[in-house]
Amino acid sequence: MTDLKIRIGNLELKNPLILASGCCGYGLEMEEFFPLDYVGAIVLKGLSLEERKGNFPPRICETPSGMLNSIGLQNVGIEKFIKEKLPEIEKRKGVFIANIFGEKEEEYIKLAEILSKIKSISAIELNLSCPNVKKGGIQFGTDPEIMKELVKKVRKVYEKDIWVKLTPNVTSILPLAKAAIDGGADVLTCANTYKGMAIDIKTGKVKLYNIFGGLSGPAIRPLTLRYVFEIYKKFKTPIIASGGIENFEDAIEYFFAGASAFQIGTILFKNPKVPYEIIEGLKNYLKERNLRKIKDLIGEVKIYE
Amino acid sequence: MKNFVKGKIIEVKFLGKDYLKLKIELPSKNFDCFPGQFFMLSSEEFDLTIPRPFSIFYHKERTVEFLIKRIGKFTNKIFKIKKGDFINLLGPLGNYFEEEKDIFLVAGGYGIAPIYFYLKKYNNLKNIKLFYGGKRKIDILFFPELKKILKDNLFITTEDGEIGEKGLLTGLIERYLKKEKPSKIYACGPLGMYKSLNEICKREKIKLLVSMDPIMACGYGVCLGCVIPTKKGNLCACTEGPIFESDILDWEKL
Repeated sequence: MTDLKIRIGNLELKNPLILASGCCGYGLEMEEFFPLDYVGAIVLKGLSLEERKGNFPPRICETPSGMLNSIGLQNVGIEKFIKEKLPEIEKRKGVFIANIFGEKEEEYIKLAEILSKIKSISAIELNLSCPNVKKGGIQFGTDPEIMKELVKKVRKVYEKDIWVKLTPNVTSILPLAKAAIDGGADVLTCANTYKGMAIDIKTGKVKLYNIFGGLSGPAIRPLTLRYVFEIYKKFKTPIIASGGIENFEDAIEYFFAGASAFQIGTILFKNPKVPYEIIEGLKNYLKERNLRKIKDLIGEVKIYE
Repeated sequence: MKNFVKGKIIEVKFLGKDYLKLKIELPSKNFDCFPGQFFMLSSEEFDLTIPRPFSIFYHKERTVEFLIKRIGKFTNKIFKIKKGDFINLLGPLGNYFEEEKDIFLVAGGYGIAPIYFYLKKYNNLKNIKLFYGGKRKIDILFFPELKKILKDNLFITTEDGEIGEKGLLTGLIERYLKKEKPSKIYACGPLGMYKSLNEICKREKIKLLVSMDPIMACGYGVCLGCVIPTKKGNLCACTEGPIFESDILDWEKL
Protein backbone atom coordinates (compact mmCIF):
# COMPACT_ATOMS: atom_id res chain seq x y z
CA MET A 1 0.00 0.00 0.00
CA THR A 2 1.69 3.19 -1.12
CA ASP A 3 1.45 6.01 1.33
CA LEU A 4 1.54 9.59 0.10
CA LYS A 5 1.18 11.06 3.59
CA ILE A 6 3.82 13.62 4.42
CA ARG A 7 4.77 15.76 7.35
CA ILE A 8 5.69 19.33 6.49
CA GLY A 9 6.72 21.35 9.52
CA ASN A 10 4.09 20.41 12.12
CA LEU A 11 1.38 19.64 9.60
CA GLU A 12 0.46 16.14 8.52
CA LEU A 13 -0.89 16.24 4.98
CA LYS A 14 -2.59 13.33 3.23
CA ASN A 15 -0.37 13.91 0.17
CA PRO A 16 2.38 16.34 -0.88
CA LEU A 17 0.30 18.07 -3.60
CA ILE A 18 -0.49 21.66 -2.63
CA LEU A 19 -2.25 24.28 -4.72
CA ALA A 20 -0.22 27.49 -5.08
CA SER A 21 -1.44 30.89 -3.98
CA GLY A 22 -2.88 32.97 -6.80
CA CYS A 23 -3.75 29.98 -8.94
CA CYS A 24 -6.78 28.59 -7.16
CA GLY A 25 -8.70 31.63 -5.90
CA TYR A 26 -10.16 31.03 -2.46
CA GLY A 27 -10.28 27.29 -3.10
CA LEU A 28 -14.03 27.22 -3.78
CA GLU A 29 -13.49 27.83 -7.50
CA MET A 30 -11.70 24.47 -7.78
CA GLU A 31 -14.65 22.44 -6.47
CA GLU A 32 -16.04 21.97 -9.96
CA PHE A 33 -12.94 19.96 -10.80
CA PHE A 34 -12.08 17.96 -7.68
CA PRO A 35 -13.07 17.77 -3.98
CA LEU A 36 -11.04 20.32 -2.02
CA ASP A 37 -9.72 17.63 0.33
CA TYR A 38 -8.38 15.56 -2.59
CA VAL A 39 -5.18 17.63 -2.52
CA GLY A 40 -2.84 17.86 0.47
CA ALA A 41 -3.51 21.57 1.02
CA ILE A 42 -4.71 24.72 -0.70
CA VAL A 43 -2.92 28.06 -0.36
CA LEU A 44 -5.45 30.85 -0.77
CA LYS A 45 -5.02 33.97 -2.90
CA GLY A 46 -2.74 36.42 -1.09
CA LEU A 47 -4.55 38.57 1.46
CA SER A 48 -3.74 42.11 2.49
CA LEU A 49 -5.30 44.22 5.24
CA GLU A 50 -7.15 46.45 2.78
CA GLU A 51 -8.88 45.39 -0.40
CA ARG A 52 -6.60 45.75 -3.43
CA LYS A 53 -7.72 46.41 -7.00
CA GLY A 54 -4.51 45.11 -8.51
CA ASN A 55 -2.70 46.42 -11.59
CA PHE A 56 -4.27 47.78 -14.78
CA PRO A 57 -4.66 45.25 -17.59
CA PRO A 58 -3.06 43.76 -19.59
CA ARG A 59 -1.88 41.60 -16.70
CA ILE A 60 -0.89 38.32 -18.36
CA CYS A 61 0.89 37.01 -21.42
CA GLU A 62 2.23 33.69 -22.56
CA THR A 63 5.96 33.21 -23.03
CA PRO A 64 7.89 30.15 -24.26
CA SER A 65 7.11 27.31 -21.82
CA GLY A 66 5.64 29.78 -19.38
CA MET A 67 3.73 32.93 -18.74
CA LEU A 68 4.19 36.35 -17.18
CA ASN A 69 1.69 37.69 -14.70
CA SER A 70 1.39 41.11 -13.16
CA ILE A 71 -1.91 40.77 -11.36
CA GLY A 72 -0.81 43.05 -8.52
CA LEU A 73 -2.21 41.04 -5.61
CA GLN A 74 -5.84 41.90 -6.29
CA ASN A 75 -7.81 40.56 -3.31
CA VAL A 76 -10.91 41.31 -1.27
CA GLY A 77 -8.94 42.27 1.86
CA ILE A 78 -8.96 40.40 5.19
CA GLU A 79 -12.30 41.80 6.43
CA LYS A 80 -14.30 40.83 3.38
CA PHE A 81 -12.46 37.49 3.28
CA ILE A 82 -13.61 36.66 6.81
CA LYS A 83 -17.15 37.87 6.14
CA GLU A 84 -17.75 36.40 2.68
CA LYS A 85 -15.23 33.73 1.75
CA LEU A 86 -14.36 32.06 5.05
CA PRO A 87 -17.89 30.84 5.89
CA GLU A 88 -17.99 29.10 2.51
CA ILE A 89 -14.52 27.58 2.99
CA GLU A 90 -15.50 26.29 6.43
CA LYS A 91 -18.39 24.32 4.92
CA ARG A 92 -15.84 22.23 3.02
CA LYS A 93 -13.33 19.60 4.08
CA GLY A 94 -9.73 20.37 3.27
CA VAL A 95 -6.52 21.96 4.56
CA PHE A 96 -6.42 25.70 3.96
CA ILE A 97 -3.35 27.91 4.21
CA ALA A 98 -3.61 31.70 4.14
CA ASN A 99 -1.00 33.62 2.15
CA ILE A 100 -0.43 37.14 3.43
CA PHE A 101 1.16 40.28 2.08
CA GLY A 102 1.85 43.74 3.46
CA GLU A 103 3.69 46.90 2.56
CA LYS A 104 4.83 47.41 6.16
CA GLU A 105 5.86 45.06 8.99
CA GLU A 106 2.80 46.09 11.02
CA GLU A 107 0.50 44.85 8.27
CA TYR A 108 2.01 41.35 8.32
CA ILE A 109 1.78 41.27 12.11
CA LYS A 110 -1.84 42.43 12.12
CA LEU A 111 -2.82 39.87 9.47
CA ALA A 112 -1.04 37.09 11.37
CA GLU A 113 -2.81 38.10 14.60
CA ILE A 114 -6.20 38.00 12.93
CA LEU A 115 -5.52 34.66 11.25
CA SER A 116 -4.17 33.09 14.45
CA LYS A 117 -7.71 33.20 15.79
CA ILE A 118 -9.18 31.37 12.80
CA LYS A 119 -9.23 27.63 13.39
CA SER A 120 -9.96 26.66 9.82
CA ILE A 121 -6.68 28.18 8.61
CA SER A 122 -3.96 25.60 9.30
CA ALA A 123 -0.90 27.76 8.65
CA ILE A 124 0.16 31.04 7.06
CA GLU A 125 2.48 31.58 4.12
CA LEU A 126 4.32 34.90 4.12
CA ASN A 127 4.56 36.48 0.68
CA LEU A 128 7.85 38.32 0.96
CA SER A 129 8.60 38.11 -2.67
CA CYS A 130 5.98 39.57 -4.92
CA PRO A 131 7.73 41.33 -7.80
CA ASN A 132 4.51 42.96 -8.92
CA VAL A 133 3.97 45.79 -6.50
CA LYS A 134 5.94 48.97 -6.18
CA LYS A 135 6.32 49.09 -2.41
CA GLY A 136 7.01 46.38 0.13
CA GLY A 137 7.46 42.72 -0.64
CA ILE A 138 10.76 43.24 -2.42
CA GLN A 139 12.80 44.53 0.54
CA PHE A 140 11.35 41.99 2.93
CA GLY A 141 12.39 39.22 0.61
CA THR A 142 15.81 40.42 -0.48
CA ASP A 143 17.42 41.76 2.69
CA PRO A 144 18.29 39.01 5.21
CA GLU A 145 18.22 41.32 8.24
CA ILE A 146 14.84 42.79 7.35
CA MET A 147 13.47 39.33 6.55
CA LYS A 148 14.66 37.88 9.86
CA GLU A 149 13.14 40.77 11.82
CA LEU A 150 9.80 40.40 10.10
CA VAL A 151 9.59 36.64 10.56
CA LYS A 152 10.57 37.06 14.24
CA LYS A 153 7.77 39.56 14.81
CA VAL A 154 5.20 37.39 13.04
CA ARG A 155 6.44 34.40 15.03
CA LYS A 156 5.61 36.22 18.26
CA VAL A 157 1.91 36.56 17.35
CA TYR A 158 1.29 33.33 15.41
CA GLU A 159 1.59 29.87 17.03
CA LYS A 160 0.74 27.59 14.09
CA ASP A 161 3.20 26.94 11.26
CA ILE A 162 4.75 29.81 9.29
CA TRP A 163 5.77 29.13 5.70
CA VAL A 164 8.11 31.75 4.21
CA LYS A 165 7.79 32.05 0.45
CA LEU A 166 11.17 33.06 -0.88
CA THR A 167 11.82 35.33 -3.84
CA PRO A 168 14.17 33.86 -6.44
CA ASN A 169 15.10 37.32 -7.70
CA VAL A 170 18.28 37.43 -5.64
CA THR A 171 21.97 36.89 -6.18
CA SER A 172 22.17 34.29 -3.47
CA ILE A 173 19.20 32.64 -1.81
CA LEU A 174 21.09 30.97 1.04
CA PRO A 175 21.40 34.03 3.33
CA LEU A 176 17.66 34.57 2.92
CA ALA A 177 16.80 30.97 3.64
CA LYS A 178 18.95 31.23 6.76
CA ALA A 179 17.31 34.50 7.80
CA ALA A 180 13.85 32.95 7.49
CA ILE A 181 14.87 29.90 9.50
CA ASP A 182 16.60 32.02 12.17
CA GLY A 183 13.52 34.24 12.35
CA GLY A 184 11.42 31.20 13.23
CA ALA A 185 9.97 29.93 9.96
CA ASP A 186 8.82 26.31 10.08
CA VAL A 187 8.86 25.76 6.32
CA LEU A 188 10.31 27.46 3.26
CA THR A 189 8.29 27.71 0.04
CA CYS A 190 10.83 27.80 -2.74
CA ALA A 191 10.05 29.87 -4.68
CA ASN A 192 7.96 32.71 -6.10
CA THR A 193 8.01 33.89 -9.72
CA TYR A 194 10.96 35.37 -11.63
CA LYS A 195 10.89 38.99 -12.73
CA GLY A 196 10.62 39.32 -16.51
CA MET A 197 8.98 41.20 -19.37
CA ALA A 198 7.76 40.86 -22.97
CA ILE A 199 7.34 43.20 -25.95
CA ASP A 200 4.79 42.92 -28.76
CA ILE A 201 6.74 43.49 -31.96
CA LYS A 202 3.56 44.21 -33.95
CA THR A 203 2.92 47.32 -31.92
CA GLY A 204 6.31 47.94 -30.31
CA LYS A 205 4.55 48.09 -26.95
CA VAL A 206 5.26 46.17 -23.73
CA LYS A 207 2.82 43.30 -23.27
CA LEU A 208 2.11 44.03 -19.60
CA TYR A 209 0.70 47.38 -18.44
CA ASN A 210 3.08 47.22 -15.48
CA ILE A 211 6.05 46.49 -17.81
CA PHE A 212 7.43 43.73 -15.55
CA GLY A 213 5.74 40.59 -14.36
CA GLY A 214 6.47 37.27 -12.67
CA LEU A 215 7.52 34.36 -14.88
CA SER A 216 6.09 30.96 -14.04
CA GLY A 217 5.69 27.63 -15.81
CA PRO A 218 8.06 24.88 -16.97
CA ALA A 219 10.71 27.37 -18.13
CA ILE A 220 11.58 28.18 -14.51
CA ARG A 221 11.82 24.64 -13.19
CA PRO A 222 15.58 24.19 -13.65
CA LEU A 223 16.12 27.53 -11.92
CA THR A 224 13.98 26.79 -8.87
CA LEU A 225 15.21 23.20 -8.69
CA ARG A 226 18.70 24.56 -8.19
CA TYR A 227 17.52 26.74 -5.27
CA VAL A 228 15.75 23.80 -3.62
CA PHE A 229 18.87 21.68 -3.98
CA GLU A 230 21.16 24.38 -2.54
CA ILE A 231 18.88 25.20 0.39
CA TYR A 232 18.29 21.56 1.33
CA LYS A 233 21.98 20.70 1.05
CA LYS A 234 22.96 23.51 3.44
CA PHE A 235 20.08 23.56 5.91
CA LYS A 236 18.16 20.24 5.62
CA THR A 237 15.04 22.26 6.42
CA PRO A 238 11.44 21.46 5.33
CA ILE A 239 10.97 22.84 1.82
CA ILE A 240 7.84 23.10 -0.34
CA ALA A 241 8.97 23.31 -3.96
CA SER A 242 7.06 25.63 -6.26
CA GLY A 243 8.14 26.27 -9.84
CA GLY A 244 7.01 24.84 -13.16
CA ILE A 245 5.59 21.52 -11.99
CA GLU A 246 3.27 20.06 -14.64
CA ASN A 247 3.22 16.36 -13.78
CA PHE A 248 4.31 13.81 -11.20
CA GLU A 249 7.77 13.47 -12.79
CA ASP A 250 8.51 17.14 -12.17
CA ALA A 251 7.43 16.75 -8.54
CA ILE A 252 9.74 13.78 -8.09
CA GLU A 253 12.69 15.76 -9.41
CA TYR A 254 12.04 18.21 -6.59
CA PHE A 255 11.78 15.41 -3.98
CA PHE A 256 15.19 14.15 -5.00
CA ALA A 257 16.53 17.69 -4.62
CA GLY A 258 15.20 17.94 -1.08
CA ALA A 259 11.58 19.09 -1.18
CA SER A 260 9.08 17.45 1.20
CA ALA A 261 6.04 18.74 -0.69
CA PHE A 262 5.26 20.78 -3.78
CA GLN A 263 2.88 23.38 -5.15
CA ILE A 264 1.27 23.54 -8.56
CA GLY A 265 0.01 26.77 -10.06
CA THR A 266 0.24 27.64 -13.74
CA ILE A 267 -0.59 24.09 -14.87
CA LEU A 268 -4.05 24.44 -13.30
CA PHE A 269 -4.98 27.02 -15.95
CA LYS A 270 -4.49 24.55 -18.78
CA ASN A 271 -5.56 21.43 -16.87
CA PRO A 272 -7.71 22.05 -13.78
CA LYS A 273 -8.02 18.29 -13.24
CA VAL A 274 -4.26 17.68 -13.19
CA PRO A 275 -4.27 16.75 -9.45
CA TYR A 276 -5.78 13.37 -10.36
CA GLU A 277 -3.01 12.62 -12.85
CA ILE A 278 -0.29 13.71 -10.43
CA ILE A 279 -1.56 11.71 -7.45
CA GLU A 280 -2.00 8.56 -9.54
CA GLY A 281 1.40 9.12 -11.11
CA LEU A 282 3.08 9.42 -7.71
CA LYS A 283 1.36 6.28 -6.41
CA ASN A 284 2.44 4.29 -9.47
CA TYR A 285 5.99 5.57 -9.26
CA LEU A 286 6.32 4.38 -5.66
CA LYS A 287 4.68 1.04 -6.45
CA GLU A 288 6.99 0.37 -9.36
CA ARG A 289 10.05 1.02 -7.21
CA ASN A 290 8.73 -0.87 -4.20
CA LEU A 291 8.92 2.27 -2.10
CA ARG A 292 6.37 2.57 0.65
CA LYS A 293 6.64 6.27 1.38
CA ILE A 294 7.29 9.38 -0.68
CA LYS A 295 9.63 10.63 2.05
CA ASP A 296 12.11 7.89 1.15
CA LEU A 297 13.00 10.03 -1.88
CA ILE A 298 13.54 13.35 -0.12
CA GLY A 299 17.05 14.67 -0.71
CA GLU A 300 18.20 11.38 -2.18
CA VAL A 301 19.65 12.90 -5.33
CA LYS A 302 22.99 11.37 -6.33
CA ILE A 303 25.87 13.43 -7.70
CA TYR A 304 29.01 12.47 -9.57
CA GLU A 305 31.94 11.85 -7.29
CA MET B 1 -21.54 23.40 -14.94
CA LYS B 2 -17.99 23.86 -16.20
CA ASN B 3 -17.01 20.68 -17.93
CA PHE B 4 -13.36 19.90 -18.69
CA VAL B 5 -13.41 17.32 -21.44
CA LYS B 6 -11.68 15.91 -24.49
CA GLY B 7 -13.52 16.54 -27.75
CA LYS B 8 -12.94 14.90 -31.12
CA ILE B 9 -12.52 17.03 -34.25
CA ILE B 10 -15.17 15.82 -36.70
CA GLU B 11 -14.82 18.54 -39.32
CA VAL B 12 -12.32 21.23 -40.30
CA LYS B 13 -13.80 23.59 -42.89
CA PHE B 14 -11.56 26.28 -44.38
CA LEU B 15 -13.26 29.58 -45.22
CA GLY B 16 -10.61 31.32 -47.24
CA LYS B 17 -7.00 31.45 -46.14
CA ASP B 18 -7.53 33.14 -42.81
CA TYR B 19 -10.65 31.51 -41.37
CA LEU B 20 -11.80 28.05 -40.53
CA LYS B 21 -14.75 26.44 -38.82
CA LEU B 22 -14.06 23.66 -36.35
CA LYS B 23 -16.75 21.10 -35.59
CA ILE B 24 -16.12 19.10 -32.42
CA GLU B 25 -17.90 16.11 -30.94
CA LEU B 26 -18.33 16.36 -27.18
CA PRO B 27 -18.29 13.24 -25.01
CA SER B 28 -21.84 13.80 -23.79
CA LYS B 29 -25.03 15.77 -24.20
CA ASN B 30 -24.69 17.38 -20.77
CA PHE B 31 -23.83 20.81 -22.07
CA ASP B 32 -26.21 23.75 -22.00
CA CYS B 33 -24.77 26.43 -24.25
CA PHE B 34 -26.03 29.93 -24.94
CA PRO B 35 -24.98 32.64 -27.42
CA GLY B 36 -22.14 34.71 -26.02
CA GLN B 37 -20.65 31.91 -23.98
CA PHE B 38 -17.25 30.49 -24.77
CA PHE B 39 -14.95 27.51 -24.24
CA MET B 40 -11.24 27.50 -23.35
CA LEU B 41 -9.42 25.31 -25.87
CA SER B 42 -6.05 23.61 -25.51
CA SER B 43 -4.15 20.59 -26.75
CA GLU B 44 -1.15 18.70 -25.41
CA GLU B 45 0.08 18.55 -29.00
CA PHE B 46 0.32 22.34 -29.19
CA ASP B 47 2.64 22.46 -26.18
CA LEU B 48 1.54 25.94 -25.13
CA THR B 49 1.27 27.20 -21.55
CA ILE B 50 -2.27 28.56 -21.38
CA PRO B 51 -5.52 27.70 -23.19
CA ARG B 52 -7.36 30.24 -25.39
CA PRO B 53 -11.00 31.40 -25.30
CA PHE B 54 -13.30 30.97 -28.31
CA SER B 55 -16.93 32.06 -28.59
CA ILE B 56 -19.39 29.28 -29.30
CA PHE B 57 -20.33 29.60 -32.97
CA TYR B 58 -22.91 26.84 -32.79
CA HIS B 59 -23.97 24.09 -30.40
CA LYS B 60 -26.50 21.34 -30.60
CA GLU B 61 -26.59 18.19 -28.46
CA ARG B 62 -23.12 16.68 -28.76
CA THR B 63 -21.70 19.03 -31.39
CA VAL B 64 -20.01 22.35 -30.76
CA GLU B 65 -18.53 24.62 -33.44
CA PHE B 66 -15.99 27.40 -33.36
CA LEU B 67 -15.00 30.05 -35.90
CA ILE B 68 -11.24 30.52 -35.85
CA LYS B 69 -9.26 33.36 -37.44
CA ARG B 70 -5.56 32.76 -38.02
CA ILE B 71 -3.90 35.40 -35.84
CA GLY B 72 -1.05 34.07 -33.70
CA LYS B 73 0.74 31.07 -32.24
CA PHE B 74 -2.29 29.14 -31.06
CA THR B 75 -4.55 29.73 -34.06
CA ASN B 76 -1.71 28.86 -36.43
CA LYS B 77 -1.50 25.47 -34.71
CA ILE B 78 -5.28 25.08 -35.05
CA PHE B 79 -4.85 25.54 -38.80
CA LYS B 80 -2.79 22.33 -38.84
CA ILE B 81 -5.38 20.29 -36.94
CA LYS B 82 -6.97 17.27 -38.66
CA LYS B 83 -10.27 15.44 -38.48
CA GLY B 84 -9.92 12.72 -35.82
CA ASP B 85 -7.55 14.78 -33.65
CA PHE B 86 -8.51 15.52 -30.08
CA ILE B 87 -8.77 18.86 -28.32
CA ASN B 88 -9.39 19.80 -24.67
CA LEU B 89 -12.37 21.99 -23.86
CA LEU B 90 -13.40 23.80 -20.68
CA GLY B 91 -16.88 25.23 -20.68
CA PRO B 92 -19.39 26.53 -21.43
CA LEU B 93 -18.09 29.63 -19.68
CA GLY B 94 -19.38 33.10 -19.03
CA ASN B 95 -22.72 34.83 -19.34
CA TYR B 96 -24.75 35.12 -22.53
CA PHE B 97 -26.93 37.28 -24.78
CA GLU B 98 -30.49 36.69 -23.62
CA GLU B 99 -33.27 36.26 -26.12
CA GLU B 100 -34.87 39.65 -26.85
CA LYS B 101 -37.29 41.23 -29.26
CA ASP B 102 -36.71 44.22 -31.57
CA ILE B 103 -32.96 44.35 -31.11
CA PHE B 104 -30.03 45.25 -33.32
CA LEU B 105 -27.24 42.69 -33.50
CA VAL B 106 -23.85 44.17 -34.41
CA ALA B 107 -20.93 42.04 -35.56
CA GLY B 108 -17.47 43.36 -36.39
CA GLY B 109 -15.11 40.95 -38.13
CA TYR B 110 -14.93 37.57 -36.39
CA GLY B 111 -17.35 38.94 -33.78
CA ILE B 112 -19.94 37.30 -36.03
CA ALA B 113 -19.36 34.04 -34.09
CA PRO B 114 -21.67 34.49 -31.04
CA ILE B 115 -24.08 36.57 -33.14
CA TYR B 116 -24.46 33.66 -35.58
CA PHE B 117 -25.20 31.35 -32.62
CA TYR B 118 -27.82 33.84 -31.42
CA LEU B 119 -29.55 33.68 -34.79
CA LYS B 120 -29.49 29.86 -34.87
CA LYS B 121 -30.42 29.29 -31.22
CA TYR B 122 -33.35 31.64 -30.78
CA ASN B 123 -36.53 31.31 -32.80
CA ASN B 124 -38.12 34.73 -32.56
CA LEU B 125 -36.08 36.74 -35.05
CA LYS B 126 -38.98 38.72 -36.50
CA ASN B 127 -37.75 42.23 -35.91
CA ILE B 128 -34.08 41.45 -35.43
CA LYS B 129 -31.65 43.42 -37.58
CA LEU B 130 -28.03 42.40 -38.10
CA PHE B 131 -25.35 44.98 -38.89
CA TYR B 132 -22.22 43.11 -39.97
CA GLY B 133 -19.03 44.90 -40.91
CA GLY B 134 -15.58 43.79 -41.99
CA LYS B 135 -12.45 45.14 -43.57
CA ARG B 136 -12.86 43.31 -46.87
CA LYS B 137 -15.19 40.85 -48.62
CA ILE B 138 -13.12 37.90 -47.33
CA ASP B 139 -13.98 38.99 -43.78
CA ILE B 140 -17.72 38.78 -44.40
CA LEU B 141 -18.58 35.15 -43.76
CA PHE B 142 -21.73 33.05 -44.22
CA PHE B 143 -23.38 35.76 -46.34
CA PRO B 144 -25.80 33.45 -48.22
CA GLU B 145 -26.98 31.77 -45.02
CA LEU B 146 -27.38 35.07 -43.16
CA LYS B 147 -29.29 36.54 -46.09
CA LYS B 148 -31.65 33.57 -46.04
CA ILE B 149 -32.32 33.95 -42.28
CA LEU B 150 -32.60 37.74 -42.16
CA LYS B 151 -33.61 38.78 -45.70
CA ASP B 152 -33.91 42.59 -45.71
CA ASN B 153 -32.85 42.83 -42.08
CA LEU B 154 -29.19 42.21 -42.96
CA PHE B 155 -26.87 45.20 -43.43
CA ILE B 156 -23.27 44.71 -44.53
CA THR B 157 -20.37 47.15 -44.69
CA THR B 158 -16.81 46.72 -45.87
CA GLU B 159 -14.12 49.37 -45.73
CA ASP B 160 -13.57 49.33 -49.49
CA GLY B 161 -17.18 48.61 -50.46
CA GLU B 162 -16.26 45.30 -52.10
CA ILE B 163 -19.52 43.91 -50.68
CA GLY B 164 -22.33 45.80 -48.97
CA GLU B 165 -21.98 49.49 -48.21
CA LYS B 166 -18.60 51.21 -48.25
CA GLY B 167 -17.40 52.59 -44.93
CA LEU B 168 -17.49 51.85 -41.23
CA LEU B 169 -20.27 49.84 -39.65
CA THR B 170 -20.84 52.38 -36.89
CA GLY B 171 -21.53 55.10 -39.50
CA LEU B 172 -24.30 53.00 -41.02
CA ILE B 173 -25.79 52.20 -37.61
CA GLU B 174 -25.77 55.87 -36.58
CA ARG B 175 -27.69 56.80 -39.72
CA TYR B 176 -30.14 53.91 -39.34
CA LEU B 177 -30.93 54.90 -35.75
CA LYS B 178 -32.49 58.11 -37.07
CA LYS B 179 -35.21 55.94 -38.69
CA GLU B 180 -35.64 53.24 -36.11
CA LYS B 181 -34.66 52.64 -32.51
CA PRO B 182 -34.11 49.10 -31.21
CA SER B 183 -34.97 47.97 -27.68
CA LYS B 184 -31.30 47.02 -27.18
CA ILE B 185 -28.09 46.56 -29.12
CA TYR B 186 -25.98 43.42 -28.75
CA ALA B 187 -22.47 43.85 -30.14
CA CYS B 188 -19.42 41.68 -30.69
CA GLY B 189 -16.34 43.04 -32.40
CA PRO B 190 -13.19 45.13 -31.87
CA LEU B 191 -12.83 47.56 -28.97
CA GLY B 192 -12.69 50.54 -31.34
CA MET B 193 -16.13 49.63 -32.64
CA TYR B 194 -17.46 49.47 -29.06
CA LYS B 195 -16.09 52.91 -28.24
CA SER B 196 -17.92 54.45 -31.20
CA LEU B 197 -21.10 52.48 -30.47
CA ASN B 198 -20.97 53.53 -26.82
CA GLU B 199 -20.97 57.22 -27.80
CA ILE B 200 -23.85 56.69 -30.22
CA CYS B 201 -25.92 54.68 -27.72
CA LYS B 202 -25.35 57.21 -24.95
CA ARG B 203 -26.65 59.95 -27.22
CA GLU B 204 -29.61 57.95 -28.47
CA LYS B 205 -30.30 56.50 -25.00
CA ILE B 206 -30.17 52.89 -26.16
CA LYS B 207 -28.95 50.04 -23.96
CA LEU B 208 -25.78 48.50 -25.38
CA LEU B 209 -24.30 45.13 -24.39
CA VAL B 210 -20.81 44.25 -25.60
CA SER B 211 -18.77 41.06 -25.53
CA MET B 212 -15.26 41.69 -24.19
CA ASP B 213 -12.31 39.69 -25.43
CA PRO B 214 -9.28 40.19 -23.13
CA ILE B 215 -6.35 37.80 -22.91
CA MET B 216 -7.30 34.93 -20.60
CA ALA B 217 -5.28 32.25 -18.85
CA CYS B 218 -7.65 30.10 -16.79
CA GLY B 219 -11.15 31.04 -17.98
CA TYR B 220 -12.71 30.07 -14.67
CA GLY B 221 -12.02 33.00 -12.38
CA VAL B 222 -8.85 32.16 -10.45
CA CYS B 223 -5.95 33.85 -12.24
CA LEU B 224 -7.52 37.36 -12.32
CA GLY B 225 -5.74 38.01 -15.60
CA CYS B 226 -8.75 38.91 -17.73
CA VAL B 227 -10.15 41.80 -15.68
CA ILE B 228 -12.15 44.56 -17.31
CA PRO B 229 -12.06 47.95 -15.56
CA THR B 230 -15.64 48.88 -14.67
CA LYS B 231 -17.44 51.32 -12.39
CA LYS B 232 -17.89 48.35 -10.02
CA GLY B 233 -14.15 47.67 -9.93
CA ASN B 234 -12.05 45.15 -11.83
CA LEU B 235 -14.33 42.34 -12.99
CA CYS B 236 -13.15 39.11 -14.60
CA ALA B 237 -14.48 38.77 -18.14
CA CYS B 238 -14.58 34.98 -17.74
CA THR B 239 -16.94 34.89 -14.76
CA GLU B 240 -18.66 38.29 -14.66
CA GLY B 241 -18.72 38.59 -18.46
CA PRO B 242 -17.74 38.33 -21.22
CA ILE B 243 -20.87 40.35 -21.91
CA PHE B 244 -21.09 43.67 -20.12
CA GLU B 245 -23.50 46.58 -20.23
CA SER B 246 -21.57 49.40 -21.85
CA ASP B 247 -22.59 51.95 -19.23
CA ILE B 248 -20.82 50.13 -16.41
CA LEU B 249 -17.52 49.91 -18.28
CA ASP B 250 -14.77 52.36 -17.36
CA TRP B 251 -14.16 53.64 -20.87
CA GLU B 252 -11.26 55.88 -19.86
CA LYS B 253 -9.24 52.84 -18.76
CA LEU B 254 -10.13 50.59 -21.71
